[in-house]
Amino acid sequence: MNPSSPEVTQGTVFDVVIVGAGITGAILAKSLAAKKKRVLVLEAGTADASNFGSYSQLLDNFYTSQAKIPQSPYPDNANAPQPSELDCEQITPPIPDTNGYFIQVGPIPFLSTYTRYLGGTTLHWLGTSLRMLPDDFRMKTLFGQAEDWPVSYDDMMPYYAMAEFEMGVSADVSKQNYLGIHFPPGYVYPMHELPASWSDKTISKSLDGTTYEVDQESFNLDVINTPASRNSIPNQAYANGKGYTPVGAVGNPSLGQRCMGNTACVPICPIQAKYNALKTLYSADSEYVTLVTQAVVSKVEIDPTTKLVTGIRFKYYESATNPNYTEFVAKGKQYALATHAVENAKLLLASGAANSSDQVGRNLMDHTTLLAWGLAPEPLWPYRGPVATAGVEGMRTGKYRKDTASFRIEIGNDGWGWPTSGPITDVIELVDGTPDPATNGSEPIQLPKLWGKALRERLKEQVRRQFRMAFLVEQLPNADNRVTISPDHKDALGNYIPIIAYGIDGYTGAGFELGTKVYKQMFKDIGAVDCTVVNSKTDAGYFQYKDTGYTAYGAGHLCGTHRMGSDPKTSVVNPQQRTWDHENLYLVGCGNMVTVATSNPTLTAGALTFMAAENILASLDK
Amino acid sequence: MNEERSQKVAALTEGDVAALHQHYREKGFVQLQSGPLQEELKELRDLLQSAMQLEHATIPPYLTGLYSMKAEMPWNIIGIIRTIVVEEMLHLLLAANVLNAIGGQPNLTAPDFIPDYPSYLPHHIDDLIVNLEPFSPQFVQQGLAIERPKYVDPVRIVLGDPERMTIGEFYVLIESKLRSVVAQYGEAAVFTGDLKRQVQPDMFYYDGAGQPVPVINLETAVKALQIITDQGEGMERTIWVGGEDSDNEVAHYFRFNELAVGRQYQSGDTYQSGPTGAVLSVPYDLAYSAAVNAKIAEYPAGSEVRTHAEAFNMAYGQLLQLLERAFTGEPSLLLQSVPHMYLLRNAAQALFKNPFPAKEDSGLNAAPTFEYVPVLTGQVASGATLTASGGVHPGHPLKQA
Repeated sequence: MNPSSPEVTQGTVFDVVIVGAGITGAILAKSLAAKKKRVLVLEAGTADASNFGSYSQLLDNFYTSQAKIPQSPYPDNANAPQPSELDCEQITPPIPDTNGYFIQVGPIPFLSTYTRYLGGTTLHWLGTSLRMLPDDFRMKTLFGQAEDWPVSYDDMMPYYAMAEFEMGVSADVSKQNYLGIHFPPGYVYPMHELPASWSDKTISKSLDGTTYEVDQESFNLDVINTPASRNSIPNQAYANGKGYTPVGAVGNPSLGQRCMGNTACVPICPIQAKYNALKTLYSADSEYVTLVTQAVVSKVEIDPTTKLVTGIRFKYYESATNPNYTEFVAKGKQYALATHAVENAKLLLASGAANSSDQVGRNLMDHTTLLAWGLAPEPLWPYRGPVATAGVEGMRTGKYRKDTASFRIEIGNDGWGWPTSGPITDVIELVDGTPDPATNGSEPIQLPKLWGKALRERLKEQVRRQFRMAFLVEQLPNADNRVTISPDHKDALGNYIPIIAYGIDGYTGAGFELGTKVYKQMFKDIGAVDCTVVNSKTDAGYFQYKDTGYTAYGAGHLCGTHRMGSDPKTSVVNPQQRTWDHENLYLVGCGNMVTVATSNPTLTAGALTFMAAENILASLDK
Repeated sequence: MNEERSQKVAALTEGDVAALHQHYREKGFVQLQSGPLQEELKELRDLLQSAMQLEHATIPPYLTGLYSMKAEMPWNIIGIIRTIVVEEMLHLLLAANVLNAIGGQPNLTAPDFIPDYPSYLPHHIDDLIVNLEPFSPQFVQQGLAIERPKYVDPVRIVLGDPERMTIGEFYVLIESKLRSVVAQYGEAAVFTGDLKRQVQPDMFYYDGAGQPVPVINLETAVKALQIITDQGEGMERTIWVGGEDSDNEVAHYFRFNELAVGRQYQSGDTYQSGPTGAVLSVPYDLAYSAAVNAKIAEYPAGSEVRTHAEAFNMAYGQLLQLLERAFTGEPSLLLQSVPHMYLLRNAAQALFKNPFPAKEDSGLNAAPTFEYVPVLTGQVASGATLTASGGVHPGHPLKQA
């Protein structure tokens, strides 16, 4: 499906106008087109990832970049700007951090990013596709915290299955039915689980069977293979024996039908064995889907009397390096915003839309991430296999959630790539002779400057034993963690720039405190040297809880800015994901999530979007 | 037996020959008379072992072309060769599954399993000499010669001697013999192999090439053999594998032809039309110039290149041993052979990056030699032990050319 010129949007009333061509926009477009609904998809970014030739250029950007951060393959586009991991630094209120795209008010910078390209943030996501736990939907009832979701795990089950098919999830059901997660009888994932890495197997020898106790409740610390939207061996038993055919790279379908373990899932899978939204978009029925890229939506136009959306105003730019644009208004019977949590909120605020509850832009959540890194007693051989293939899931829920944030623990196969940008920095430090990282809290020893064979030997000794764990700590919805806009802050096309106020509360702080104790026990059981460093001066996500300093990292899980609910006074969308205020305006994506829960949110966002597609179809057929 | 068949062929009238051709055109095989069951099975097992050798014989040449490409080679050119060689690997497995199904014993570790390049293919199939050469116009021409759709003379199938058959005739011979022996003795007498030896679809997925077909009867055996010939030469009446569809790929011959002509096939193209789609630029200069059919003995003793070439051959021998075990009762080893293949790639690329020792003036670089070395049973348990066994040091920085 090649992008069309913006003129094709004129003189037509589409069945549905979708804003955003990431995973949720793509799922909506494909689902609606399958029912022969005429769909227009407007994407702010360029289509640079859409054929394998230009995708290879993005790959080259990654290969040649110094910092292999999630955004490294995807250059910023001034007409559709995006945040970068390199933008964040500590904030001293009231002076905001204006280094990057966001105006960061603080007190802590919001550390996560998203990608404004055709295909969206699935271009750089990891691919982790865990389901939420049944408990995650009932935080208020079970733990007296936050809100319950207006849907339950059982309501979500069929939609999880649809998302697992569309995204091509590899996992074995027998290992995923923990802490209340359940499946219909006979259900299997489309593909078998990815093989455990050497590191997973080695670490599980030390951790399997161990437990951690909180308030007389015992939690299992077994290492569990992680479901991933990443091609593996198809399961013959899928769909009652029909099997499953892996989807390869867009434009190069014989490549990427099987993960080759490049350890570059984030920021870019070289072969597209990892799912990205282009796969969904390009398998949609092109007869029914019109795609316009480089079309930045500036306003949702609303009839003041009927409160119905009458059109979507967008600015079409010819080139990412030129701020000239032409304005168009696209018309549809139904509308859906699918631009991710921050941009959806920004657009609604800019349009004065859907905000009778005053909840638009509020409750911004992420998985504030506690990183722990160390040196294992034996080589774990990192950088083999996907960035992560296993985790410890046993602490995702428990009675302690009444006052302490829960977490899942991702075990990386990427050495110290995340915490220290290793192994590049290892080389630099060894050549410069910086202090030994493996001092385990004692006085650092200055290392001699190394070169030649000694450097190689030391690198080999050090890098092959490196590992890290990422504790994805839950964050509660908080009205003060929010996206706002101001006429003082606009981008090259005159669109609003998100202003973000963000902090970490005591509930999450308690999760960090608990997580730290848990990781120390696990490192002890593994026999690992703890090399974790919390730097109060330079870590952008540094914060204190009970007088102890911690560093939070961003997980890229932006949620909650237009949450769903049963009460129009406290939520932006109803359980059908339609705005309470506008009968023909739907919102999709992680912004609808009531709580960030304990799973990476993309699979849940995908499942919710399949649910939303059914509701939009019902509205159209009414 | 052969004499008997020769006499029979000599006795064929023009009408008999015409009938043979018509039957073959309609059915795709030839009706044969089977001899005693055990003799027939032995012949079939020998033919299928040859089929494995034949499918394997193209892998070192194709890998040589693939590994000689520099990192800057465009993805779509790499992709053409990569998909072909992956499919040859699937064909090797499919031939092993058929052989196992009729109670045979796949052997990948005999000293003559790897051809001594330059070499004829087994049984002088296609009467073709195959070389190990880097990616180049000659490499592409060789690929065309190997994969060109070949004439099938049904009279030669009746004759039954595989010597100098075309590859098409060779597989029609196997299918025809299988069909006749099943017709005469029944499936139960023919498909006696241990089912546990069959590599199942759940055990391995060939990226882009498809899935293993477990062979349990005539139908599945014919299906497995057809995948081999369809992916190679293409199917009757279409150049596309799996039917004409923009998502499908053209058969191997046509993929090589895209490189030779410098243009892609598009929907509607035929064998006669050749490719009429988008221009495909083939930058041969983005492959290393390397020696053709290099031999270990040519690398000076004690040179780094020689050490690495020997390590490569040891690793290749270990890989074949691992595959043999996977095909003789331990199919789960197939997945474990993948890391081993990565080590091979790294070792091959280290050779291609370095000048041919003592022949630096020629401008040619070194290349892997794919020569047989004996590997002791149990020397390699899985890919993970390779480095420890002292075989190959992946990514070891030899001096750059």
